[in-house]
Amino acid sequence: MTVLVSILSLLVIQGSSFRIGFTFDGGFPGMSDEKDFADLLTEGGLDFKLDNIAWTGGVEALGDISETIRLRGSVSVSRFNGTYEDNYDPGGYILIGILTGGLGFLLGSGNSDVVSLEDRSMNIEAAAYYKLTGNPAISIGGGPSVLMVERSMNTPNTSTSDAATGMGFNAGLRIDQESGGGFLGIPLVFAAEGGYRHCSVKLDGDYTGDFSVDFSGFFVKIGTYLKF
Amino acid sequence: MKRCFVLLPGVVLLVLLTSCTDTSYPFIVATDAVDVNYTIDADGTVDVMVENSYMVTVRSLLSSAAQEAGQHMVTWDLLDEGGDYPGDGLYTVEVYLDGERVFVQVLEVNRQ
Repeated sequence: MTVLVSILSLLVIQGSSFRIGFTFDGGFPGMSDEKDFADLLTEGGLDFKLDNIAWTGGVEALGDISETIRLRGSVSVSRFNGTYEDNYDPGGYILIGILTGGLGFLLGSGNSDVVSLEDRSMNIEAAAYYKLTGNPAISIGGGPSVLMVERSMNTPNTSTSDAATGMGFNAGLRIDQESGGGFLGIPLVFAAEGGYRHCSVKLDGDYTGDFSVDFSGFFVKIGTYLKF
Repeated sequence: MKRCFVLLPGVVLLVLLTSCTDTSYPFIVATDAVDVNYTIDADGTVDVMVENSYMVTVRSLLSSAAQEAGQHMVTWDLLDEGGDYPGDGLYTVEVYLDGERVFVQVLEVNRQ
């Protein structure tokens, strides 16, 4: 966190090319422990389904400290889910549909989660990039991250949760393109980044053993920024 | 004719509602000591263990026991190896025959 604040302060003081915006990315996480657990449940008769993609949303600040060096600081949250769903219940579905004046038919499929799993990671990242071109600015780089992960599992009568903190890193190739347009007179910048993040943290509960929440994998990110 | 318009949707609704059955989950809800039945297809050495939702073995119920083919039962008192309650949550009872996993029973443990 200290590193992030320092970087952001540096960017603000430095002044030129400072930009801040929202990002959204989809990643393909390893999650080998979760996959093994899902296989075990499926073998036990629960058709437990894991998502293939982990979704991440965050806030980023960027700025150039020289002609060729670009810094980035970000705070983001990644999520990865798994569920075992109860089968379609026609009686309940129809009742809900009638009681909601038909709205339930439009909104629901009739299925409901029986066992739900959610892995979360709050990521605080700092990264430095080397600029290869001007506008669009293609740059390559990476940096460390602090990760706060949590794994929650809910069943009809129980709820369990464990968390841990660890370190990771990320590396990527990004393209920043100034739009030519603006928002309230502030120029807009669009960016896309593709790369790899290492984000695996072993949980540290009494009964968690070597179980790791592993968001590591390739990702593709897009962002929209205001340039000051 | 008018009565038919009123009755027909009612009958259809009644049929659909009565076709609704109680939810039965594919796991055992355990609030106290629980019996788990399993079948092995051949004679051999059997291990039975309980794992939590982090795939950590919390209890070994049977270790290198010689068993004949057929149905068997083990009982778990919801305690770990140290005699402590390992907490609510999802557990699996796994049966290994000659080192190969042949049966998994999922338990939702919620001790009252």
